[in-house]
Amino acid sequence: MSKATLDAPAELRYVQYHSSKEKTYLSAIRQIISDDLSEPYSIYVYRYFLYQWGDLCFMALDEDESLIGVVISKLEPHRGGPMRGYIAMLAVREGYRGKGIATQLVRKTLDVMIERDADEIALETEVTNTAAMKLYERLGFLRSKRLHRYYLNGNSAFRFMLLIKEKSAAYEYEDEAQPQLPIRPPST
Amino acid sequence: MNFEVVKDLMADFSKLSSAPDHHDVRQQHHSPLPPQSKSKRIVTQNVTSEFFAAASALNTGQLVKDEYFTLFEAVGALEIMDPKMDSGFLTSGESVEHDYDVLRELLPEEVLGIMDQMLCFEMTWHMGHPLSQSLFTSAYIDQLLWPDPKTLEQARFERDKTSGPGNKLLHLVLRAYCLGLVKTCDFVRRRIMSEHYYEEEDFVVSLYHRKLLDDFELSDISTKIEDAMAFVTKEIESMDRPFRDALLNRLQLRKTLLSAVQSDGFLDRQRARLWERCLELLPMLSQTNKLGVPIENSFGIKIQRKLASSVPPRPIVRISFDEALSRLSGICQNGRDAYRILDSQAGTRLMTFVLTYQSRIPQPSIYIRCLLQSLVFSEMRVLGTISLKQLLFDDFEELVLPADILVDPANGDIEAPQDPRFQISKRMDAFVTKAADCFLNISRNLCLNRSRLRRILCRDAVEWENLQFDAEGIDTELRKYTKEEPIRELSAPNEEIWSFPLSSWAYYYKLRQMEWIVQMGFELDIYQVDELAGMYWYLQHLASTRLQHIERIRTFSAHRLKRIANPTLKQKTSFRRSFSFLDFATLEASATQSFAEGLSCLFSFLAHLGLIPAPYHPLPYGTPALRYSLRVQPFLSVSLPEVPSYPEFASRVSLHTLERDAGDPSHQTASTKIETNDQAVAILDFADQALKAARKDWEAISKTKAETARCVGCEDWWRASVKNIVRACITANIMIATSKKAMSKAASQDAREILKVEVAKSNELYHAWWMVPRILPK
Repeated sequence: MSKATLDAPAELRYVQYHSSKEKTYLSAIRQIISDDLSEPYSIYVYRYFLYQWGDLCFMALDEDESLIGVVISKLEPHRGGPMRGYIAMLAVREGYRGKGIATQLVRKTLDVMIERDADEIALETEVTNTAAMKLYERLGFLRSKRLHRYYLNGNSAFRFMLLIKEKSAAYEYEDEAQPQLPIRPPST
Repeated sequence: MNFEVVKDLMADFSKLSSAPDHHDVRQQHHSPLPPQSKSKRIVTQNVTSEFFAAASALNTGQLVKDEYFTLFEAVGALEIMDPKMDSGFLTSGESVEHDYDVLRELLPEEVLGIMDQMLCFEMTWHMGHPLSQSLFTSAYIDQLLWPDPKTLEQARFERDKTSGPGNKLLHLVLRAYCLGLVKTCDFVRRRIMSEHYYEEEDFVVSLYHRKLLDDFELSDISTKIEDAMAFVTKEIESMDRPFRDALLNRLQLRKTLLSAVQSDGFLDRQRARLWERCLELLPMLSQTNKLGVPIENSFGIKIQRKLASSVPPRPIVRISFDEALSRLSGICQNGRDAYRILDSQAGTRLMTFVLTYQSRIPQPSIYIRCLLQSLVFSEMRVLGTISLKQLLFDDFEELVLPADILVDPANGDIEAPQDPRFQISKRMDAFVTKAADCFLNISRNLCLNRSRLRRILCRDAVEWENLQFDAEGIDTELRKYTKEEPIRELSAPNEEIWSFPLSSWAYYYKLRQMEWIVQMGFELDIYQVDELAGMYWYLQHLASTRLQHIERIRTFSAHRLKRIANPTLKQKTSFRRSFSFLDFATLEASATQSFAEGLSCLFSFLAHLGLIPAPYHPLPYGTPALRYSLRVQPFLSVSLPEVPSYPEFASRVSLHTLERDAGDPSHQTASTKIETNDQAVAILDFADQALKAARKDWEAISKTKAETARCVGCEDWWRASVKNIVRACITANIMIATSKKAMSKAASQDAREILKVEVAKSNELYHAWWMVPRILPK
């Protein structure tokens, strides 16, 4: 258990998302995430994740039920191979950072992914985002690749990976000749 | 309002949004008038009411999604009426068109200002930003290129009139500059597209349905620039000298740049002089920038709307003039230097050149990297002159087959199938066909951006594995035609050892690239601090495998030389060259091995004392073994050398104890006490020995002649790089001394109270491949 987790404010509640909560929370979720982004995601991106993997989305709520942090993820076979979890978005409201809230949110989503038989879990962070990198490294993720100019602002990314199960082949590099366009959120 | 319903309908709406004529349809969706298409074959129909009817059948939040609607589509989707996503969205009273009069008369200082602004945007395009966020936001460029000019004469600012307002500075000077600029972009883009590059991460090729004057001749455009220069030269009355000189400087630069990038004859060494000439023009460009007056509103984001694109409006990317100039200067220097590759001659020297050239910091820009790829190989020739077969035969000869019948070019002349030479030639040609791409790709891959390079090396490891396997088959077949006699060792006289020359060649390059994969990991900051001991151990393991392999090759070459009764001068030269290569490769592999071993031991020592985290220490998720497994994944497709199992690795690196495996998250065990930790002292001694040996080896390398080090053509950069490694090595030796001193002084203390460790990022090191930690007394 990391030190940061122990400092987390006791009054926060960590709640799994459900489509019944959409009216209450979707616009707050969009807001908290787009606060960190120069270019917004369309509503389709949120729907894409929440409709298909609502159970992998967790929200941190304070005593007034207002949204302090959120994690949005997915879980599906990766290129017909292993079951891959993917942490797509993670945001904590400014003023609440450095208290282990993000770590808690990530652990919640990781636990559900593992329960749902994930083989591996992946995500990207900007190479300059040391706080995020530390968070994932403390949990057991490794940097597996560097992605040149991955974000729209020209910044590069690290792909982080966590193996849950032993992996047999080196398929991970088969598609290296492809452009790295597909799963690219706008940058902060 | 969100039109978040069905993908196909949404796509139709987004089409509407890209055509500025149809805004009002979107803004006032009650309007019954469907937009009328000019094409008679397309009948348009207003679907607004059907759309709303269909949408009303769904609840908010309900998603209608077919399997083809992937995350890619979701991320690419636009929301109409959101000003951040809808490029056609206008606030009330806002006009559709960019409001700038391109036909207004310009003052000399304004022309200068606009030219320099354009140069900045040209450079942001070179940096990888799209034209839509750079040059294509210029009202002047827009006016020249749209509608698409059918003749060069049509590429002018007054598109619909024969003569209109504006002055000669506009119509003659700025136009010529713009034509030269656009045509330069055309050549640059075509060069990049003809080579390996990655869309978006390296460069964006999209032209948004425009053309970059590709139908027009360079000579015609050059003439326009010359006409403009003649005009400026004569304008003594109306323009002060500094303005004239500044304008002439920019026109001259345009003309020279255009010639430097043109496709025809790019293999001519004289191109280096054109790049040099551009460089000579830059100081004056820099000095006269202050004379110009930038015209900010001649660039506008609204011009993006006229471009055929499905992406949301994106901000104009601006850089300072100084930055643009430094980028341009980098391109010119690297363009000039790239031609030195033609002096490198092929083979191992070519590879050293590309490796050394591309390892410089900052890495050359994408255009230059593609130019270098073209110089390496184009029109089926390496460096413009050498065939692939020559390239490979030369390399086989240097590494494994000095003066061997297998690489005798005369074999190809034999037509009688019963002649062994005919059979040899047939098989060697087949192998060349298989190996050529792999071999050439090493040099071409080295031109990729560094992140890609590492990943492509990971991907290609399996290609080399397969090539080595194929080569083994061919080697076995060739034996009967070369009448090879196996070597038998005294210790095992019944065991036949065969030379396997072609597979030895493939194995050598496979090992070399595997080392690069690990080294690129250091350069790209892929490894965490706790992994460094293990990764340097793995690097030394690869280098020592290569050393053994070089010895094996040498044994067979020496054996063969002994059996030649009276070697000819040609044979002697060939053997000498091969042994010189093997000697240098031995030195280089040994230097790599000892430096890597020394660092591995040093990091291991630091971990033992709790000064850095223990390698693969337990963490909340995954296991140490799984993390190791992820780390060695690029090598799992390679059977030789086999990847050590985790227990083997852990014991070799002597870093991991079973108790820690059992789940104790703390790596801060009792062993951090110096006096109780004999093992740490022993490891430090190992590190000391290895790093002393490394320093000796690297110093020997730094004194090697260029011809021996295969660094002809890039000697200065190569020496600079080796010098940095020597510095890193010396620093590592100093760190050992610091550690020893501290330990002897404070034998009963906790090491963490007397020493602290800093591990810098790769770009703060003497050399990015050698992560020497800073160990400081507290």
